[in-house]
Amino acid sequence: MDIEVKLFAYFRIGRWISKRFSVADGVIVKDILKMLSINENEIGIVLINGTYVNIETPLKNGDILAIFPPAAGG
Amino acid sequence: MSKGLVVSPEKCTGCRTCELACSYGKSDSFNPKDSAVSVLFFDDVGLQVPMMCMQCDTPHCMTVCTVNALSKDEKTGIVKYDSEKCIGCKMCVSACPFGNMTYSSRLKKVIKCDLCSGDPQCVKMCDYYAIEYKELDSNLNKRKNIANQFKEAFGEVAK
Amino acid sequence: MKGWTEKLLRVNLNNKTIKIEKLNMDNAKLYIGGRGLGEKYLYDEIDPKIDALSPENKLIFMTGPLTGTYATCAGRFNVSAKAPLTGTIGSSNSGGHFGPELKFAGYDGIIFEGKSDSPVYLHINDNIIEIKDASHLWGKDVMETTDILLEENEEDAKVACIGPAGENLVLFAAIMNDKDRAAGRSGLGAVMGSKNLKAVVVKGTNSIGVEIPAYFNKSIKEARDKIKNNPVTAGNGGGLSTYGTQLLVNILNESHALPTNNWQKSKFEDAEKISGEFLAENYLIRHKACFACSIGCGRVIKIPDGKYKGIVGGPEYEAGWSYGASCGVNDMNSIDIANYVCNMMGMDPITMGSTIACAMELYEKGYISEKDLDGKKLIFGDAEGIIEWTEKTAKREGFGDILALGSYRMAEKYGHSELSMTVKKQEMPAYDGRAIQGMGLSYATSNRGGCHVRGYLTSTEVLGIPIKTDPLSTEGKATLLKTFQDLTALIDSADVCLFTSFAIGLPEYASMLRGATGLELTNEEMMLVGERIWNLEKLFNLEAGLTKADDTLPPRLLTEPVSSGPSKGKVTELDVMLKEFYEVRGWDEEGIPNIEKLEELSIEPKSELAY
Repeated sequence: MDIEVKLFAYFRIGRWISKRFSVADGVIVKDILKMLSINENEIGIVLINGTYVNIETPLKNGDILAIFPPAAGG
Repeated sequence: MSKGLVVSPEKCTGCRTCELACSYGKSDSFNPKDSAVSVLFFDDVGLQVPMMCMQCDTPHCMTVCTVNALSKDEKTGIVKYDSEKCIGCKMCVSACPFGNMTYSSRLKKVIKCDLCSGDPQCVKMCDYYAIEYKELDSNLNKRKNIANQFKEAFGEVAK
Repeated sequence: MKGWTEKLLRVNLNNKTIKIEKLNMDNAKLYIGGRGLGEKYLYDEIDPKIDALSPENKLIFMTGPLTGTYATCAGRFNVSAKAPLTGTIGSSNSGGHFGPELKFAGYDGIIFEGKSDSPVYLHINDNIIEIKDASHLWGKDVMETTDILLEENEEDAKVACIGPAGENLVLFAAIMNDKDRAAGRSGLGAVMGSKNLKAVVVKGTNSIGVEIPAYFNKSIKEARDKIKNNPVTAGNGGGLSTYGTQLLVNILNESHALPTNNWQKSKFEDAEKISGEFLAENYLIRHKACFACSIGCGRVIKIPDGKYKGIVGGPEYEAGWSYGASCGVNDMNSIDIANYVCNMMGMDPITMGSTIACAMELYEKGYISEKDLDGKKLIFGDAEGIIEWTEKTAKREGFGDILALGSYRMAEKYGHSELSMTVKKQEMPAYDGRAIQGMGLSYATSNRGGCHVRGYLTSTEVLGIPIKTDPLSTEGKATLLKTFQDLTALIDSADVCLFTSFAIGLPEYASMLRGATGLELTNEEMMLVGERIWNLEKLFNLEAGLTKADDTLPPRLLTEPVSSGPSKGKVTELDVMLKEFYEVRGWDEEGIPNIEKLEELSIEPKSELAY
């Protein structure tokens, strides 16, 4: 299945901003993090199609996965 | 080898916590006017530079002091100030080529950095690492880096 | 008690008298400082029904007991007055270096009364205090005014001033200090302008002590360490220092909660081009901090060319959003310039950008035409327009004279107030209250009108700090909001930056305050201070004539569902949350605090209201 992964803030350094991937069915967010060598404890916010999810969440075909380090502002 | 303060203006955010830490360390109260470090602001280039006594090897302040209120500790490199001996002539203030000697008419004494006897409070409290306390020998590479950053910052406006 | 200087300046601009009076320490213990203490003086001394721009209004600068110490991010000050934009209590706080300098001069605050018959400024050098002529400064922008005042007085003094916007009574004019730090919201710059008060220049040489030094040191070290080791707040490489608050652009956009084209959409296709990442990559020179701040979220950016070329302060998230997504503008440089013009002119960029966005929709829908717009078109995405209309608004030229009223009065004039994205006539910032339900309630109940920093539920609903809650659910939001509002009121009154709350909590604030003042408050008592302030603000507003009908949202949020993303089809479910909120607050169905609640909070109401 195909998914799109978007990275933000310093996760982009040495990587990229957005990329499409073909991944195996049943893949969860954690697997993608592993693939990208992003440490779980660096994670702040993970969104699938705009909804906040945890890293155990499975991905579906066509999903947009957005990964942010901890962030705040206001 | 002697240790000293190394300033990285490009890391300074202008928060002036160093000024507060310095005055508080000396007097248990906060007053930037009593601080031996001052942050100078250059708004047109967006730069801040913390300035303090550089503990010169040949301190002009010491040379002009007629009552030996200033002395150089050969071991630590610190130019020490003895307020008991000081007569308040302010010659040292004029002599310092950097303007890093300040005379406080309110406190009736000279304000100068003494490296907090080896534990500088400004360094401890700087969360941006703009002032560091370290070995000064073979520092040329770092100096080059900083000089380059100065060049970039000042060059930015000229562009 | 140390912490406070226990001295207050009272400046009467009618007869040009200056008095130094003792700070009311009973009130200081109940309201701490900054927002709370300033508002308490305001509530006690003015009739909330007055015209905000009349000489009867008072303008109160107030610092807190931590201001001037190295308590982390505590160098702030607050300004209070009745607000011209909203008719509510007006309060806005600012960082920079002005607040601490006022403390070093020996004063906790200044109360300005009356109105000068010609432009003046106040000059304070410790105990030498003078009202000086400012006619040569009238009409000058904030940058020029600041430079001239420093040259005329002490070069190391600090200046808070208004620009042309405040002089021209733009209803959302700001009070600026250090050139680019602002007490931005509520239109307090217009109150200052209405008094013919151009600036306050202050230099101080006194020391500020703390009550329990050893305890203070320990508490500051703990708080600073927590901030230093937090990935969001760390001054050296944390999210805020690296990317600024604009890091939020992509987060809110990906969540479909970034109001776009005057809130007609919740996602901006060009968000990337106005993001914190983009700004950092293309325009950022370095980051900057306010006095005693260890976070350093301030942006120093370059404007590469044109008449505003130079190195200047960059926009915050909400300012960048109002000119960016809300106006449909994708050109970061134009947004930077428009924001800079706001700083020069002394205006709130959130309201300015949002008012232009509202005018864009009025034009799009055909409710205004080129005839109204000085012969120009005004379409979403007009990057030049946001700069030009900002300049014209400050000077009240042409249609700028109408923009200067804010979006509500402007849209109302053309018969379409429903297109104004305001609460109590103040523009709501950058978080869609339909996609983030708690934020909807936060806007509706904010005592100073549409505002994000009175109860920042985005923190829990979107960012997951301190715990993640579901942004689409209304459950428990009323209780959560009360906690956020009360805690924020306390933090604002300690004059600590709200951003510290991403890393530290009640115990740290309590220890810092205790170390500085000796005041020993439990967590519960600390929250009670916040609740007291919130209820006092509410009383002011009720006595000013506001009612439950004002605790609402623009019709768009209540009736037009979100068009995309996880919140598609949602409106803000305000009714259910508001009812619960009044209950949680111990207020009646009309949102009026009951007498038992006020007694519990040691508040004495001035008027009968419903009692």
